[in-house]
This record gives sequence, C-alpha cells and structure tokens, in this order.
Amino acid sequence: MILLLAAVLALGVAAVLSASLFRHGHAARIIVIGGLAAAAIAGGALAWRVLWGLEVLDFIRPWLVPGAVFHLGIDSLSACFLLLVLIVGGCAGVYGEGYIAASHGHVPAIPARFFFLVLMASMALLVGARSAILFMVAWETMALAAFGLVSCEHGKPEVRKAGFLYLLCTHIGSLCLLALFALLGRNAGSLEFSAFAAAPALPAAQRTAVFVLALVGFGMKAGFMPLHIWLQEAHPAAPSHASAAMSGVMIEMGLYGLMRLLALLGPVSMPAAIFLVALGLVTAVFGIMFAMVQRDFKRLLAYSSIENIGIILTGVGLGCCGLASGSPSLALLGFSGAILHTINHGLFKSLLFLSAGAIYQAVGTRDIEACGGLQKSMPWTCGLTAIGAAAICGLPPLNGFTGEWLIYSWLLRPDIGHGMRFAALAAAILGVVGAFAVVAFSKCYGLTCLGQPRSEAARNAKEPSWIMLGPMALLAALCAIIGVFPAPALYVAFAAAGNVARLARPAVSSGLDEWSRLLGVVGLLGAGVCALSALLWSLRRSLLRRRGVAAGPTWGCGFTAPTARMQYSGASYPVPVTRVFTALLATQEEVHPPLGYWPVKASFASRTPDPALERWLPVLVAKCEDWLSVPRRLQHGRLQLYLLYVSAFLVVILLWKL
Amino acid sequence: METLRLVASYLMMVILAPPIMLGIITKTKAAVAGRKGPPVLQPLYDTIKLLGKGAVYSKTTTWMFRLGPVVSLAAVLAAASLVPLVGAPLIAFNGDAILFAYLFALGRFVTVTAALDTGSSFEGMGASREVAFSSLAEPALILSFASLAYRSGGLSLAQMFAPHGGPSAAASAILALGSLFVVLLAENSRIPIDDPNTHLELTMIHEVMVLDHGGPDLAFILHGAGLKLVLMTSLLVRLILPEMPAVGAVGSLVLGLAAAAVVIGLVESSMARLRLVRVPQLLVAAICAATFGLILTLR
Repeated sequence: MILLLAAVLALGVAAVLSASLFRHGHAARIIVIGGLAAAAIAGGALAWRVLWGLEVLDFIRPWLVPGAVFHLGIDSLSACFLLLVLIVGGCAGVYGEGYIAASHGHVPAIPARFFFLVLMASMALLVGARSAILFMVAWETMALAAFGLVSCEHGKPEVRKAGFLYLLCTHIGSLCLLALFALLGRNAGSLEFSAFAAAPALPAAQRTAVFVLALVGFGMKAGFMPLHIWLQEAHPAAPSHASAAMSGVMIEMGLYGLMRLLALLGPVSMPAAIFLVALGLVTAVFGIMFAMVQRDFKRLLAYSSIENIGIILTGVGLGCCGLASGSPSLALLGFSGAILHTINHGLFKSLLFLSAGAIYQAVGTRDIEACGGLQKSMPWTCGLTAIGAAAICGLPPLNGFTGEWLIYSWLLRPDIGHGMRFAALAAAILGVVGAFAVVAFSKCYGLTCLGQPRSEAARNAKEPSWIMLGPMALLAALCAIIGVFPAPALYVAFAAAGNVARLARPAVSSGLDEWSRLLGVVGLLGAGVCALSALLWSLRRSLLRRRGVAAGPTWGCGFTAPTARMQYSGASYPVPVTRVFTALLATQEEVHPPLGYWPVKASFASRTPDPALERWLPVLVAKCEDWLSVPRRLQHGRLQLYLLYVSAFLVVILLWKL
Repeated sequence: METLRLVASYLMMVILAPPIMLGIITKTKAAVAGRKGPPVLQPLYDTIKLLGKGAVYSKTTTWMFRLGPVVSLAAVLAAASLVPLVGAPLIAFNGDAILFAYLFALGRFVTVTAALDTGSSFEGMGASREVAFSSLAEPALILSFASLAYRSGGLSLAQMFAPHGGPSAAASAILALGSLFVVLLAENSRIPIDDPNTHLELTMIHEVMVLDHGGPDLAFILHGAGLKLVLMTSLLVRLILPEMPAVGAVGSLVLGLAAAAVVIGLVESSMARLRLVRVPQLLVAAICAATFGLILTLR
C-alpha cells in the first residue's frame, strides 16, 4: 500500500516542484516525466500484486480530520482503474510536454503541468479511497484540477464560458454525492466504506434516493444524457493532453464511483437495472448522433465520449440485470464487458485526442472543413489516427471490438429467459450505434486526413515531434495488442467485475475460462485478418512489380478542373443519415440559394445545437429563477446583514438543541 | 487428410463461387431481356485479366487508398471461414455471428476511407451513402440474427442458419429471411438499392467508391464483393434448403446458390432502382420484419 502513497506522492511532489522550483526548460520536463514514470512504476507494481498476486490491501491510519480515518484499500476494481489512470495519464503527460513546447506560449506551461499532475494524483488517490471523506477530498481535487486545465487558455471567452459551465456542473454533482454519503453515513453510523457495506439495508424510499443521488452525482461527471452538457464544451477548450486524460480516464471515474457503490451496497432492483440499460442506450445513441454532425473535431470526439460512456453504462446495467435475476454468470459478463470497454475507451479515445491535438497545432484550427490531405504531410499522426478511428468503431482486429462483443454476447444469449429476449432490441440499438460510429469516424479521419488539403495551413502542416508521437504510438500499439491478444485485458476486466458483482474467486475464474477461450478465437481471427492482409499486400506488390504503376489525377467524372473545395464536405457527409433523424437532431439551416439568372452570392450554413444545453436548460433555469425570486431578496450584497444571518442561524440552532 | 480436403474444397468455393454466381445473375438478366449475354465465367476472366494489369494511382491518394482493397478482401475472406460453405465452417464458436457482422463493417470502413482518400466529390458522395444505408441495415441484421439464435439455441452461424422444426419457428424464420434478403441486397449493392451497372456516377453507391481503383486492386474489390454476396446468400440458402442426400452438403449449397442467383437476376430484371430517399424506408421495413420475427420467438 506504501506503493500507492508513493505514486500519489511522486505526482504531488512533481506538481509542486514544476510549479515552484523548476518552472522552465528541461528541468521542468524532467520533473514531470520523472514523476509520471515513478508513479507508473509504483502503481504498476501495486496493480500487478493485486491483480495477479490476488492480494487485497488495506491501509488504515488515524487522521486529523474529525470523524474520519485515513483509509486506503486496493482491490481488483481499484487496481484496474489505477492501471488505466497511470497508462493513459502517463502517455498524455509525456505528450503534453511536447505539446506545451510546440504551442509557443499559447498553452501556459506552469498551470498546464501543475493541474495535470494534480489531476493524476487525485485520480490515483480516488481509486484507493475507502472512506467517504477521503473519497470526497480526492473527488473535489480532481474536479478542481480539471477546472484548472479546462481554463488554461482563459484568454479566450469561449474557454472561460466552458470552464464555468464545467465548474457549475461538477459542483452540482459533488453536492449530490455529499447528500448521498450523508444518507449512507447516517444509516451506517460511520463514513467508512466498510461500514456502508456492513450496515443494515436502507428503507425503500431511501434506497431510491441513494440510487437517484448516485446517478446524478456520478452521472454528471461521466456525462450521462442529459447531464452531459459540460462535456462537449469543456473537452475542446482544454489543451489536448488534458482532454485526453479527462476523456480517457476522468469521466470514467464517474463509472468507477457507480461500480464502487454497487460493490458496497449490493444489487439494485430489476426495474432500476433496466433503467440503467435504457439510460445507457439513450446516452449512446444521442452521443454518436451528435458526434456525426460536428465540424470541430475535438467536439466530435467529446460527443463520442458520451456515446462510449453510454455503452459502458449499458454494460453496467446488464450486469445489474444479471444480479437482479440471480444469475452470477450474466452479472459477471455484463460488468466485465463494461470494464473492458472502459479500458479500451481510455486507450483509443486518449489516442484520438492526442492526435487531434497534433493536428490542431499543425493546422491551427479544429475545423474539419479546413483540414484534409494531412496524411501526406503528417503520415505518422494520421496513420495512428486511422488506428484509433478503426478501434473506436469497434472493428475486429482492434480492441474496441472485444468489449462490445462481450456486451453483444450478453444481449444475444440464446439461452436467455423468454422475458429477457427484449434484450435483442438493445443489441439492435447497439448495432446502430456501432454503424453510426463508422459514419462519425470515417468522417473525422477521412475528411481531416485524406483527400486534398482544403486550406493553405493544411497544405503546409508539419509532423509533430517524437515526444508527442511516441505516446500516441504506444497507445495505438496497446489498442492493437488487446485486439489480437485480449486475454490479459479480459483477465483484469473479470477480476474487477468479480469485485463489482461480489463474487468469489472460483466463480470468477470459471467464467473467465469460458470467455477468454471464445475471445481468444476472436483475437485469432483478428490476427488472421492481419496475416491475410499482409499476404494479399505482397501478392499485389509482386503483381504490380511486373506491370507499370503510373500516377495521374483523380478521375473527375469528365470534369477536368476539380479543386479542393469541390470535395465532399464534412457537413454533407452525414446528411443521408441525419435526414432520417431530423426530428431528433433539429439541425438549423440557413440557406440563401442562388437567385435570378445571374446569381452573385449564395450561402449555406448549418448548425446542430445541443438540445439539453440550448433548449432544455434555459427553460429549467427560467423556471428556477421564477421560484427563487422571493428568497433572492435575502441576497442583497450587504455584508453586515449577512453576518446577522449567520449569528441568527447559530442562535436558532443552539435553541433547537437546548 | 480430412482437414486438408476441407481446406481445399473451401478454397475452391471461395475462389470459384463468386464469379460464377455473378455470371449467373448477368446471364439471367440477359435471358429476361432477350439477349444472349456474356458467358457465365466472364467475371472470372475479368478478374484474371485485371490481376495481370498495371495500375494508375491518383496523386492525391496515400497508402490508405492502396490498403483499402487489400483489407476489405482479407476481412471478407476471414468472414468466409465462419460460414459453412462445405457442410461445416472452418471455425465456429458461440458469438461468431457478431464477428461476422463486424468483419463486414471493417471491410466497409476501409473501402469508405479509401474512397475518401481520392478527394473526389463523387466518391465522397458514394462513401456517405454507403455508411448511411449500412447503418440502417445493421439493426435488421442483428435482429434477424437474434431471432435465429433464439430459435436454434446457439449464437453461431452454422447453428443459426440450419432448418429447425416447428411451424412457429418457420414463421419467425421466414420473417428473418425476408429481412435478411433486403439486407443482402443493400450490403451487396444490388437493385433496388443500388445498381451495379449504372453509368451515372451521381446515382451509384458502391461502384462510385471504387471509380479510381484499377488493376489488381479492382480485382480484389470485385472478388471481395462477389464473395460477400456468396457468403450472405449461402447463409440464406442453408436457412430454407434442407440438405439433399443425393448431392451432399456442397452440392445442395451450390444448387441453392445458383437458384438464388436466378432469383436475384429476376428481381433486378423486374424492377428499377429505388429513389435514394426511398431506400431508408425499405430498410426500415426490413427492421420491422425482423422485429416481428423476434416477437414471434418470444412466446
């Protein structure tokens, strides 16, 4: 357990040093990378001991905070998330050094480094926290560090707006969590997690309250629809390595919290479990549909994070369905699918955010319509983006498929009870989500990296430095390895799922044996696709070697002077799909068609506002303002009267206690 | 020895069945139109000719354009190993049906990105349509798979696509069959969803995406497309056609494929391509049929 403290401490010390003594140049860089490496080694060793050594570690010390003890603990669930934090965060942190250096002062180095390391440290502490107070301390530190990262470039008004929106949302979430822990703590008589688990069951009404509070509190961080409103604003605003860490691991901490609570409090009822599945599917469909229509590629990635959170939540809900129906094997399958997808999403989403950052720096814009043709000038970045895009679509030789396959296997189990066969509808929705992901990411990759450059900046783009490419390559390699050889990742996912479902070791390992055999065949076939591709590639080369290969222009279908601007645009690419779902997307179009015999000017603009943020929230806020207009009179800005309130309140409390 | 024979006969099917099936479709259409038509083996001759040719690459393209045909053929070949082409599949396991669907998705992804790599607005348009229509075909495919899996008690293609007794099972199978037939037409760019022989780029879907490919690349694409048609058709054939003892497993499959080719040829001769805005409606109808089939298994 000293290892976890060492990891947190290494990150914390590096954070402080990078902001105080070693602010500039190589020293800062060495401090950051050294801190990350030390944390990765310590945390990795700890995770290894817990996951493969089958130890469960506990560390309890008295603490100065009243009513609390300093209680850390690591089980497989914590170890799994710790590993993810350290790998994804480590890659993003190393990349960040290159990113900061290449930004020429646009990204303020000192806050970017400091808040990033604090974010890492708080997440490492969070997964180990075993008492509500420590958990909340880590949670709030994480939330504030992320706020610091989002508002790094606070010179821009849209960044300030995104930062405040995020701060507001995260505090609503934290408020719910405080209420949640207060409820649980009152029932258990202590704020220790172990006391929560041992406490008598709550009455039905309070159970519902706990469920709702947890859903809002953790869901606000994870981005369940319609609580996602901050996500698509904050991710594009943050520097890319921070978005990678936020999207790859921080929002998944919301799911960690949910699963930790399940592990403590036990199964939820069947209707609640089905609600979770439905919420997950709604989130997934919503996220990917809005991802398709974005023209800012970081916004597209942020919406796709919402989609993936939805898929993970679906898996969690399915696990709960398994628990509620008394089938441990189904519970294990659902949770392990969710956790495997969490791991996978952490890897490919951070990879995509990192490459998005590289492209943003090279082209100077996040607008898909201004990119294009980058694969010629940035072959490495674009090649890695292609791997990430294929992985996020869940295509077979890569890791995205493995987690989704487990969830499909749950939904399409032939031996499932008759009543549960409606699960097939969920599978169909998941299929739509997968197909829409192909739309979104063939657009994101295809229109950004392929074709002809649509702007002068795109034509002159430069490959980023190796310190940025190295971490991206590592993440891409992990995506490919898990896809072809899923056994280790599946082992980790099952071990963690066993914690969530509260199953004993033998039950977990028998389930693991079954599914790792099947998933092994999937990986084998993925390797087969790679081998066949290599074979066909060499066949093609030897065939072409004998004949000539010539170069020419793209076939313009008879038109001889095509320009880059005539390429298919990102706005029109998803239109065949979005036309079908006009009612859902409510895209606003402003059309000025060419008029008259000699038209001079014509324009077309389309925009798809987020319904939750721009349509529903204003209504809610207006309602709240109505309700609160009376108590608002108390808020007049005179300090003396505020002090009077405080003393009056104290007197009332004292009188009440007498 | 047994394995060797299996693999050898598999290879025969994978190499020969696609061109012959395409040849039969063309022949049927010619016969209906009162023409003689090209020989049945013409697609095979075309493929061989293309393999011997050189290639012209657009200066806009990168390695993605060259990788597309290779990976899409490899994906379809891997999918072929899951389909019982010679009585039994090469590989079968619980859940291979999902892998089958996603291998096609892989093929689609690389074809689409290769098309976008040319920077041509026509190919971009084709790519856009391809991903749109396939995303509506996806739920129909999965729902049909689900009802077939419930009917047969296994999530493996070899198990799901086999005749299973009972009139109620037959009803759900027929609905799944209808739905899958529409998916087959959509996935393989046949009339009424797409016209492989059209000469106007603006109306094409699949063919417009491969406008710039030539030589061995085009051969790979054509063979992959044919093989995809063979795979999906042979699944449907196995669903309705019991194994005839007189001709054996392979024989009955081959006969079924030939019959299916004639049916597809007749469909193509008897109707025109739908307007593009109508295509989603047809696919939604397929989703509904698959949902009804699923509901029938719920009892």
